[in-house]
Amino acid sequence: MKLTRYLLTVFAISFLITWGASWVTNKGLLSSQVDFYGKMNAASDTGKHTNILIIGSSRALVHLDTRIIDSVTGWHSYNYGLNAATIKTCFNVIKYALHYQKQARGVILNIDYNMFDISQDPYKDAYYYPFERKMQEFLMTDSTTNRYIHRLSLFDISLYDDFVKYAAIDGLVRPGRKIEGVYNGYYPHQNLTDFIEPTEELLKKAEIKIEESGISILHDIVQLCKERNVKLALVTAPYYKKDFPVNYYKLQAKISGIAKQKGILFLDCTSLPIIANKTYFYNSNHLNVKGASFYSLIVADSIKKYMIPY
Amino acid sequence: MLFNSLEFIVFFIVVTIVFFVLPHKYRWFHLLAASCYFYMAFVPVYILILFGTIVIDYFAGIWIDRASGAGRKWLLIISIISNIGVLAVFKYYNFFLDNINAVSGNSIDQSLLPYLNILLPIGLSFHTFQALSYTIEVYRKNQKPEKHFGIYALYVMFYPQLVAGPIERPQNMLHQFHEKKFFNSDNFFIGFKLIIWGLFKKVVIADRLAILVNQVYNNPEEHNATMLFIATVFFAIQIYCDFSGYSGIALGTARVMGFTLMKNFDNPYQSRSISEFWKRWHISLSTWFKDYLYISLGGNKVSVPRWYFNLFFVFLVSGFWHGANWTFMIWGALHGFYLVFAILIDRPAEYMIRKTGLSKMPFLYNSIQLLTTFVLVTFAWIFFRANSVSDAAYIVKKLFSDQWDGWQSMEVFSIFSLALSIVLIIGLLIAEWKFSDSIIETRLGEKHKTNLVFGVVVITGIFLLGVFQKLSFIYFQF
Repeated sequence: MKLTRYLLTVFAISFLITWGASWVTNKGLLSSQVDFYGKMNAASDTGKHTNILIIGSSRALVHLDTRIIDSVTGWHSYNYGLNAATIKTCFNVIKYALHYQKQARGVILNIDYNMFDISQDPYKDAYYYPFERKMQEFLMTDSTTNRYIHRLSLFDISLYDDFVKYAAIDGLVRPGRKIEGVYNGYYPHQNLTDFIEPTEELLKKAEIKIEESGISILHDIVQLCKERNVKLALVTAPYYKKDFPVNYYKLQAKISGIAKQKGILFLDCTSLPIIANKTYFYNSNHLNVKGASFYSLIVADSIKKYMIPY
Repeated sequence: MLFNSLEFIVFFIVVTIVFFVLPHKYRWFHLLAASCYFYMAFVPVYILILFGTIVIDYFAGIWIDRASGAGRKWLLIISIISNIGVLAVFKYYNFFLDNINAVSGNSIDQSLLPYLNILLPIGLSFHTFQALSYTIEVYRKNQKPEKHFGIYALYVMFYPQLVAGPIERPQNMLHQFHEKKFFNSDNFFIGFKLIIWGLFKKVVIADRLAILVNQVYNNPEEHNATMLFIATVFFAIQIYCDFSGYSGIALGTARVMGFTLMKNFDNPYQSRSISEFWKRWHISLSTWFKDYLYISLGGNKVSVPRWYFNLFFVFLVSGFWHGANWTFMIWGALHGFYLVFAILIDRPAEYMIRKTGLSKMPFLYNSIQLLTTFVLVTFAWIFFRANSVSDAAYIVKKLFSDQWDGWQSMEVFSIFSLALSIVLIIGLLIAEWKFSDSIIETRLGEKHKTNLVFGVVVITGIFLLGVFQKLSFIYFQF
């Protein structure tokens, strides 16, 4: 009897504390305005009235200046770029954002050569949980984590790693915190001086992994945008000195083929004259703020003609 | 099936309930079947190897008891060769071949003998040593041979200690399988606390530290001396929490059913000398080597040089037992060297301590001894953890360089994780030092509030701070 009472008491108190901590953690994540959670919160903020969703990895995040796109198009854009996002994460974000942003008219999807290797996706199931509550049917997630724990809606916290826990604490303690210099999700990289020329060794890239399931997600994105009556534009930002893996052109041809077949814009900026000028870059894969302004202007001009009816 | 998995929790609950529901005469079979299932969850076919050695040792035990003179010795030798033979083939064959090819200058393709493309059976070194201790004890007439084949098989295969010990002795275990066990709430209570504390050490501390340690040790050349230092200290804590956590869960699962396994760890980082460390670390293995190898070599009842050799040799073999890699050999050799060196400098050190008056300042003296032991043990862990000797040499070289450039930001381990890890390590040291044993060993009704707080803190800690990536226990590979 004593043993049963002890076990019941211990587990009851522990469950209660854990449930409370889980609830508080999710509150914190839903209050965050920075990084992944900030982006997800911004996507579900129906007061934002976003017309153009900018989606992609860091090459969308630090390349597409929302101020320039807004001023050229006259629409309101938001940059949902996430570091290291694969096509799978991009699809999730598009679905999620389109559900809330009823005034969305266009999606700019930045295409990288390594985003079709979806096995490398850093955005784990656990990252979506506070959002899944509302979005269960929209998000395509892995089955690698213990989903049944989530279904009990009790212990999300046991699925979160330290980064997420820290983000939750940050969201609770500093709910209004924004990173200085971030404009509607666009994160300009100021570095204009420290770019180190990549060595020959670095330039010799191995063959990239293009998973068919990744390409199939791209088809799903095209289909989704069509169903929602949203214009999709595929863009590829410049790489310094065309630092491409050997089978990049195979991927480029594939994307170009899909774009042509579906009648969507594919803006390949990998041959812009700035690719040989290192003052536009902060590393071989990313433009600095000067390069981003130049590139954003080109993208804004093209999508204005493509997306906005006269 | 890992102890830190939901499958194991379900398995454990079912096995324990059925154990107490069944009449005593069927329990051995139930536990044996459960242990087979547990073992087969890793690589099913390897149960045949285990079964083969069990049959050999079972009959060897009976025949050794019946035989006399040289026959006894030969039977023991047959048992030892068959057990060590399996170990040699599965664990050391490819290693020996690597070295023969390296010495003869042959590449893998030019190898004189073919390489074996096989997985190491899980826990092979552990159950091999446990089986050996049976035949040796029967040979030494300290143990009567077990006539019941099922009970003997259970002695080798008992699932709580099958894959990573403690390496039990027949005198402690065999009689327990014959005894009728009744459900005892005190045993359950203590077992439960051992399990949750073991799980806490594994999933909250060891698996969290493993993230940083693996990242740094798998790419040492990408990290500065500060990161290598942090990773090395973290590994010292990780391996302790990982292995003692496993042992705690093993002791706890057995205790719930009324079985008492030997204690495997006794706060080893409180040791004030290397010899004390080995009385507190992996006790079942160190006493195994002492009883069956060190004493067989003559122990300290031989000439002084031979005594030094015995000590050094035992630790060299211990290193080799851990793994077929030169890194483990160096680790063992380092510990052997520490022990011999400590004996050599014993008198001069005593003289120095007297002269400096250090013995009159016990706190300072103890602290210096404690820190020195920890530093020496941690230094040796570099070789244990490094992926190769060249990696270990690189790490040691860098640690003694001036490239201490501070914290390097990592994608897998944040500053928040670092701060949390340090807090947890300090908490662990205080808990282990001051009160965890005294709480765990209390019976139901004693120190009720303290036990309640312990249970809540540990279980809540597992839920809130656990790293649930299903990382295997380090010692499973041995």
